[in-house]
Amino acid sequence: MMGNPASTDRDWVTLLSDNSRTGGWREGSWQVPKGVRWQFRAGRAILSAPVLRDKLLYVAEIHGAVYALDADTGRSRWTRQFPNWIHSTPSISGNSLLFGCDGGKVYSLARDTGKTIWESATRGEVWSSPVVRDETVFFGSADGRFYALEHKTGKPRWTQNIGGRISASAYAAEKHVYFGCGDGKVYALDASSGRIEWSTPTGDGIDSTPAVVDDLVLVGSEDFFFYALDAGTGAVRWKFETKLGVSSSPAASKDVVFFGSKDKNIYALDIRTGKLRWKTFAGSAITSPLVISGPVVAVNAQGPVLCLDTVSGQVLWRAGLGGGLQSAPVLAGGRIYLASENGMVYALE
Amino acid sequence: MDRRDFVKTAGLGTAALLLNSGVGRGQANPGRPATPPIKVHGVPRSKPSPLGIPGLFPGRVVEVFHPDSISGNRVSQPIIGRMLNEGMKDLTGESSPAAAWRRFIEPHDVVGIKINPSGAPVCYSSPEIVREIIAALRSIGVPAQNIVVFDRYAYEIEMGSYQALIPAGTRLVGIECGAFDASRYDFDIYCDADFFGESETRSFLAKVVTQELTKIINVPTMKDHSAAGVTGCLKNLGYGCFNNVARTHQAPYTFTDPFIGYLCTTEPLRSKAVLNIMDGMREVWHGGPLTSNWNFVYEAKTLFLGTDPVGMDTIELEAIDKKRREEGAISVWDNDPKTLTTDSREFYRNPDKNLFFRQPGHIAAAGKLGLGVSDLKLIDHRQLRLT
Repeated sequence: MMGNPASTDRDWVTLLSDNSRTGGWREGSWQVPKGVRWQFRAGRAILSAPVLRDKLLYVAEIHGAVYALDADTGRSRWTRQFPNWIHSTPSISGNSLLFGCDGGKVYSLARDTGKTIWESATRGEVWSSPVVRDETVFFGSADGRFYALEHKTGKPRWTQNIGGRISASAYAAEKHVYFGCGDGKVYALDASSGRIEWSTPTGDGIDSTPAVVDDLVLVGSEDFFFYALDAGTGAVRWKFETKLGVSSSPAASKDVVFFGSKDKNIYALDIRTGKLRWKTFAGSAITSPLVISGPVVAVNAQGPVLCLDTVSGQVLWRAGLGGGLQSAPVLAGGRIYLASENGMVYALE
Repeated sequence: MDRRDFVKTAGLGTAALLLNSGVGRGQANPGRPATPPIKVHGVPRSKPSPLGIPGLFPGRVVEVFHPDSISGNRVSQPIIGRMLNEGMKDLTGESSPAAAWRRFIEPHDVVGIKINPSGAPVCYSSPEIVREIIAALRSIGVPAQNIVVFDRYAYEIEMGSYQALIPAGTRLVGIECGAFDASRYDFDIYCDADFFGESETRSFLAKVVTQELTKIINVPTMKDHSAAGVTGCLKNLGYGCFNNVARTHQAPYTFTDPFIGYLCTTEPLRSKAVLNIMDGMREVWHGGPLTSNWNFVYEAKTLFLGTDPVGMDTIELEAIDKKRREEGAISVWDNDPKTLTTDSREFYRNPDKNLFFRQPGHIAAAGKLGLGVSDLKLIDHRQLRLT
């Protein structure tokens, strides 16, 4: 059982919606937003993605402030200021909100009050989003280590020395944890012990968070390729070449995986074969994660947010509200929540 | 006298402050306002380091070429390592790369690597070069935590994916996040000039330079520049370490000449910038600094090394102008008003169009400020061709 599933289609509890890291894919319809329901000025750049649960939207801005906003009104319920920068997308599990800081700490806050439950230190920036499964918090750090902590207390369960800088978030499956590393390898660790089960090299560093669909680990690399690896062995099942690095995290539906490349295209590939279904020119290098809601896939294209038809790749709608590069939109409850590089948070519906 | 009261005028006096180069080999900039006085508020009474600009080897520029340094649009890190080793030995005259690096860096230094991520993903400081520099620093005993890869804009660093690509333990600093973010600048160290009646006339130097680093290795790219003519060592340091510099551009005029040079004279930036390694893997000969038009990108497969930023930028300028001539484009020195356009899309597609009266004369102006050698006849230009 996953540790932090989105409880309803109105929740979006971690990067790419939930622990499946599939980018929010659900069956259903989608409607073009008619306007801005509310906007909130955080004041500083927001590079991480918001998360949502029980009508509270949580946003972390770069200079260390964390906000809990009423998802209906945009009013702040509570705010906490932390001493270090925050690149990490928060993650929700139970009543706790987890995120990392550039100072090397990972925090667990009470979701309703913002009070600190525990904090744990590493020796490098934690840009990745913590993922929770079976009462264990998993994350990598720029100190080259991968950590597993006890969810309730923050006490270490195990640590694995990887060696390369880890900035991408992990995918936690039942028995294994998968992640990409700055040393160019994709790793699978035993979730209970941290033992390295396999590692598969790519040609350059990895900044993309993997998605796992059935027995395939789907992830992009700076070596220009997008990979599908066998989840059990790490063997390359197929790989697809783009014209530049792939740091965007993929979104996956039942049989199609979507991702962006710095070559400015958004790609849709058949998950089983790696064959191209469509590609759409976005006009800007794509580095932020893609998300899916019903029949549309959405991405922040360095300013405008694009929504494309999942079947044809046709651009259905675009909004030019902000410029966050790392921030991914949240599509939940019939709304789109956006956080921008100029410090604004928007709710569209 | 406190730091705020200390006003340094780059040692040249008021007359020098009014030098209006910008003319250089081209035509004048008709209608540009006169160059205002530029006041440099550096660290008072600081004793310039002998390693500082123009450094240990004024006028020496080492150019290293390897035909396989880019293969299939990818920069080859192993070949970069060889190019760097040979270039460092030639620059310093030392017999080993480690001895060459020790001429500039000591194990206790806190070393900043000033990258130029703007223009990613087309042309930006290659992570492969940055990684090889880090490896060289580690090899002479600099701890990973004392190596800082930095630039002004956090979002551009992310665009280049340096966060994934630089080794564990090294630090990555984006000085600004978002508009109007001045929190990481030192309000005591600045250059002050009123160019176009702007509300804030000061450009502040980043705290990472004034307070944390002891040495800086400058890793610019090889690009033409819509305002400055080219962007190389000088502009990557000046416009990449100070804030509020876009105010010097008001199309079609720009004060990159002489402002870039003045910024680079500011202590402690001048004393800490001990080495330049220019990424000439991909050369942008039109549309810089932000172009994404591959038609104007040339795989030069070259590294330039030197301590003299003026000498290096002079060689870069010659190379870019030569490439433009080969492509049949106008010179970066061409200041004919007929070349001007206000349509940036036209500029990005047509190499005979300018957004500004370009100012490649900023390099020679910096030479006049004592930052290096701009006379081609006096530059010791060494060319290594590796295979």
